[in-house]
Order: sequence, then C-alpha cells, then structure tokens
Amino acid sequence: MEQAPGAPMGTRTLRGVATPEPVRVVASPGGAPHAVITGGRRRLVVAVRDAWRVQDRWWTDTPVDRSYFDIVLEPGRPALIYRESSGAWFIHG
Amino acid sequence: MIVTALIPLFPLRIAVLEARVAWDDPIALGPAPGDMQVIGACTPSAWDDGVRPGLRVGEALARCPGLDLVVPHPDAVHTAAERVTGRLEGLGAAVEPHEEGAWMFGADGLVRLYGGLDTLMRRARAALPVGCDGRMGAAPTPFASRQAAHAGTVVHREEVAAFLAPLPASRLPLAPRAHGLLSSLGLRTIGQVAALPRASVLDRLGRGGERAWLMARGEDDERVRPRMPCEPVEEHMDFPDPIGVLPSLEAATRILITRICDRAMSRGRSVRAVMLRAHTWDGGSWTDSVALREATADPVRIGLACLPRLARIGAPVTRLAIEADAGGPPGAGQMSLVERPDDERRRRAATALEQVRAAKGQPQVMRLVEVEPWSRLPERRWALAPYEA
Repeated sequence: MEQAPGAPMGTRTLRGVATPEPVRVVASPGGAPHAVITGGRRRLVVAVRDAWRVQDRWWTDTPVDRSYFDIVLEPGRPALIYRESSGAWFIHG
Repeated sequence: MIVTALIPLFPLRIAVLEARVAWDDPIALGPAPGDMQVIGACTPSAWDDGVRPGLRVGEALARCPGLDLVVPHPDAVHTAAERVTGRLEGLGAAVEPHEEGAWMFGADGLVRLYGGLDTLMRRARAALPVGCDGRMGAAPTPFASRQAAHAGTVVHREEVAAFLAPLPASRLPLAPRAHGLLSSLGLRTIGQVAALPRASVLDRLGRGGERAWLMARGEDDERVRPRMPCEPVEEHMDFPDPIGVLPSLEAATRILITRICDRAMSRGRSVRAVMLRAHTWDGGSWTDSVALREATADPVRIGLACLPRLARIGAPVTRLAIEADAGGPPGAGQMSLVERPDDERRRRAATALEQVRAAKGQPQVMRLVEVEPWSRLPERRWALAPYEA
C-alpha cells in the first residue's frame, strides 16, 4: 500500500516520524534553496551542508524522485528539505 | 611452584591415533569440512620436508608429495583432554586446562602430601597418555612453568630470569604486530626484551608489552585459575544412515536435550553449560560449546541456545552427542519468593498508562519502532507505536 507524503504510516495505531510537510522555499533558477518560509517567517539558508538525489520506488505507481538538501537555516537551525520532480518543496519534521 | 603438564601437538597426535597411521610419516592436520583449505600442525618429518602450519593444501602437497592429511577430530581431543584433566584432579590438584595439550596446577598444597616436588611430578607424569611425548615442568610463574615444561625441567625462583633469557622472544604472549616490532628492533631473545627499560617497553608496546616484559623477568603476578568442578551428564544418538538434513538434526537434538534435562532434574540440579558433539560420515568430528546465561532445566530454553549452532556442522552426521554440566543450583529458573523492585515499578507504570489512556481515549505514550531502517526515505525508517507496558 502506497502512502502520500505526510500521511500516517501503516495501520491506525502507527504514527509516522519525520513525515514531510509542504513548505515554501525561495530558490535560485538552478534549484539551490536561498530561504525557507516556515510559520510565516522567512529564514535565510546559511549553508547547504550536503545535496543528493533519491530516485526510488520506480517499480510502483507512486515513484519517488527527490532532490534533497541538508541545510542550515539562520540562526543555526539544521533542516532537511527536498524538491519533488513537480517542483513542490517539502521539509522533514 | 606451578606445575605444567604439556603434550606438544596434542590435536595432531589424537588425529593420528584416530586415523591409525604412523607418527614418523609426513602427516599434517587437514582442513575441517567447510573451512579454508589450509593445513594445521604437522609431524617432524613433514616439517623437515618444508611443510608449515597455515600453508595452502596445494602448496603443502607440492612441497611434500608424500604428505598424508588427517581429518581434525575435536571431539576425540576434548575427550582425551578431559580424561587427562580428570586424572590430574584425581591427584588432588586444582587444574587449569590451559589450552589443548597443556594443564597447570599449583603444587604448594600437594608437595607435602606427596613427599616432595619430584614425586608429585612423577605421579602427574603418569597421568599423561603413554607414547605422546608428555613433558612436565615447574616454575614459580605460569609463563616460566610452561617454558620449563617445554624443556622438561624444574626452575626455581632465583633461576627464572637466567632460564628464560636464551629462549626466543617469539614465545612471549604478544600480538603479531608487537612481535614484528621486536624483530625489526633486532630483539631475538627473551633476555634482550627483559633488559629493556620498563618505560620504553610501555611506550612502544603498551600494557600488553609491559605484561610480557614482567613475564620475561619472572616478575609477573599471574596465577593459575582452576576450572570449576563440573557434573557431566551425557546423552547420545547413533544414526545408521548419516543425517545431513537440519530439521532431522534439530529433532534429534531436542530429544537429547529433554533426556539431559530429565537426568539433571532427577538429581535436583540444573544445566549450566552444554557441549554439542557430532561424528561426521568422513571420520571427522565437530564440537561446539554453549554457556547458558543462567542455569536452567527447561528443554525449550536450552534448545533455543543450542539449535542454531547445528547449522555449522559441515558434513552428514553419524552420531550426535550432548554433554552437559549439570552442576547448576537446584530449582534454577523458578519464580522468586520476594518480588523485585523492578516489578513494582513496572506495574505502577502500567497502571498510570491505563489511566492516561482512559482519560484521553487515545494512546498518549508511544514507542519508537524500526519499520524500514534501510530505506533512503527518512519518513519510512521509523514509526511511533503505542507503548504497551
């Protein structure tokens, strides 16, 4: 059974951990994040510690194609965000 | 004084006896079924032909075309070693079976009983099998005693340093890297190592090197650690047709474990350790020992510890035996009369959880569980499940 990002995992008694939530991201034309808007506040990206791409579950009806960014937001808060192939951004809670 | 009884190349001698071949022929221990194809210990005539332990089988046969390989027989080695240990304990000695083919015991309490160290060593020498080049030695420390047994002599305290000095440094119990370092420094004998300053040894070789340095000077404080007396119980089963199927072996093992437990319980004891032994169709054998976390007479618990080991047998089995040490306390595994503090705390936590759940209607306390820890998607790796007390 496939689940959309953010949906509770498995049966009703299991709750997801680090489920992704939609987020607004200001990015450069090349796709690199510059700022993240969370809770109505705009936070600048201080550093991009790592970036990688995950293509998974391509054998299912809901393939995954994500560009991950391990970033540091001001004033030093780490965060893990990704951009889907559709262009939508998500942040792992 | 510490007395050491030593039989050099003990596993090879037992395998040669089992194979009924002559010791004077070029013979070496072959690889056990399923092991790497390298040879083990070899007889002096094979050594003269250039065969060395650790050589690949093909290279050993190329060096010595007449080389005869015998199958290792760990079961027979264990039985023979146990017999020697029992005989030495029969003298009143508290014996430490040091390794295969070496036994140590303190002589201080026995010298007066036997009227002198010479008489004691003569009696201990008689406990060793005939024709196996058994050697006796005595010295004040275990390391010196073992070296004295190699030479078949008695070394008194004031002679230890002089006795050890000319021996090769490779006999010191050091890691291969440390031996390589000693060799590269040109230190060939124990005496050269003993002459080094203690601080330098500690600096270059660490604590292990310092311990070896003390041994080289005969100043170490190692003591003999005699084994705990055991109460062996043995059951076995013979198979006319060799069995190579795991479920059949497991079924036979369960039957033997049940018999062992019945015998232990009839003595009012429980099982502390189990040794599995199998004779294989190619004439070799296999052994594995299992030390139980706590003594028990429950066949299911013993089976849980033993059955996974059967998969390591590399050949069809003709005889399966289980030897157990039934020296555990009577009634092991029973409920305790007085409750432990942990139980009370756990019960109170469970009551608190029930109350929170009744008030809120939903599970409030969760436990982190692995779902797909190998997943590349973070949200699939972990999940929260309701905590059940």
